[in-house]
Amino acid sequence: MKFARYLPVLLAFALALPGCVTQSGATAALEKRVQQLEDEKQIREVVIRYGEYLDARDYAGYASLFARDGVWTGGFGSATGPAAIQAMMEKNLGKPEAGFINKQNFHLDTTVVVEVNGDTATARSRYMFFTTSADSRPSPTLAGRYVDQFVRENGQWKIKNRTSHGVIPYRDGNNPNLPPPPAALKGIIKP
Amino acid sequence: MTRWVAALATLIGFFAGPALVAAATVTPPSLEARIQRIDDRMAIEQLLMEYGRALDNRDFAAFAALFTEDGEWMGAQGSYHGPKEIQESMEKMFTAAAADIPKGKNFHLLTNVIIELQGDRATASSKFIFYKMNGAKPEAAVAGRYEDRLVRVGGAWKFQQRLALPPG
Repeated sequence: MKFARYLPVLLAFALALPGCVTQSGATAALEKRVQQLEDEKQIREVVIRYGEYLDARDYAGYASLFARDGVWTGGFGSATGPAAIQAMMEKNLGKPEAGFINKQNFHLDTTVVVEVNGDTATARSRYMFFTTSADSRPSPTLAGRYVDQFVRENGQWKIKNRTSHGVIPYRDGNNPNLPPPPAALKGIIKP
Repeated sequence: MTRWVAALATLIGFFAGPALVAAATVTPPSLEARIQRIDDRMAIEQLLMEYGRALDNRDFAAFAALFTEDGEWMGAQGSYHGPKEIQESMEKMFTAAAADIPKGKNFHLLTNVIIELQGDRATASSKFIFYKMNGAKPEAAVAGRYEDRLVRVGGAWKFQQRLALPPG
C-alpha cells in the first residue's frame, strides 16, 4: 500500500533518468567545445599582446606573458621566468619614460593558427614589423613567423617558449648562431 | 513541534547561509553566459571589420549606421558627433581625396584586435594600415591604432566612440 503510493514518483524518476544522462552528456560535449573556443581566444590575445607590449616598451607586461618556467632566448642571452625576463629586457633596452607613445614602429600580428591539447598548446603566427620611412610612411621592414609552445598555468595561457624565424630577411630561429638583425633595427627589436 | 521546525530552519540557515553566499561568489559562469561572450566578441570583431569595408566601398550611410546616436569619431582630421555629422564629414573627406585615392584603389587592413567585455559595454583596441595604390603597387600610406568604446543598442553592437591614433 505504502509502496504503491510512491510508485508513480519512482516511475517518473526512472523514466526521466535516461534523459538526464543524455542531457548531461550533451552538456559536457558542449562545454568542451566552448572551452576550446575560450582557450583559442586567450592564446590569440597573448600572441597579439606580445607585440603590443614590445611596441609600448612595457617590459613588465611583456614578461607577464611567460610561464614560471618560460624561457626567453635571443641576442641578449637566455632568461627563465617573468622576473628574470623583465630584468633582462629593461637592462638591455631601458625603461620607457612615462606617457611614452611609440610613433616609430609596430608589430602587425596575423595568420594565427592554434592547436590546443589539454593544458598545452602550439600557436603558429606571422608578423610584419613596420617602421617609419624617411617620408613618414609605414614601411614593412621585417617579415617572419613565430612558433610558440603554450602551457596553461593557474587557468591562464602562458608562453613556455617562442621561436622567431625571419622569412624576409631570412633568419633560422633554430640556429643557435643567429645572424644579427639589420643594423638599422638595433635597439628597437628583440634581437 | 513548530518550535522544533523553527529551530531546525535556523540551524540549516546558519550552516547553509554562508555556504550559499560562498557558492554564489565562486560559481563559474554558465555555459549560456560563456557562449554569449563568444557571440559578443565575434559581433564586435565583425563591427570593426564593417568599418573598413564601408569606407573602402564609400558607403557612408552604412558607415554612419555603425555609430550610436551620440557616437563620436575622432582622428587627426577632427571630431564628429552623431551619425549625420559623421556621414557628411567622411563623405567630404573622401570626396576631397578622390583624385589621390579613388574608390576601389585602397583598402583598410585591420588587425591586432583586443576586446574587453563588460556586459552591454565593451572597449576594443586594434591596429590599421591604410593601403593605397602607388602606380600598380599597393603602398602603406598611414598606420595607426583605434581605441573604441562600444555599446549594445537594441541587440546590435555600435561605436560610441572611436579614436584613430598614431601607432604605439
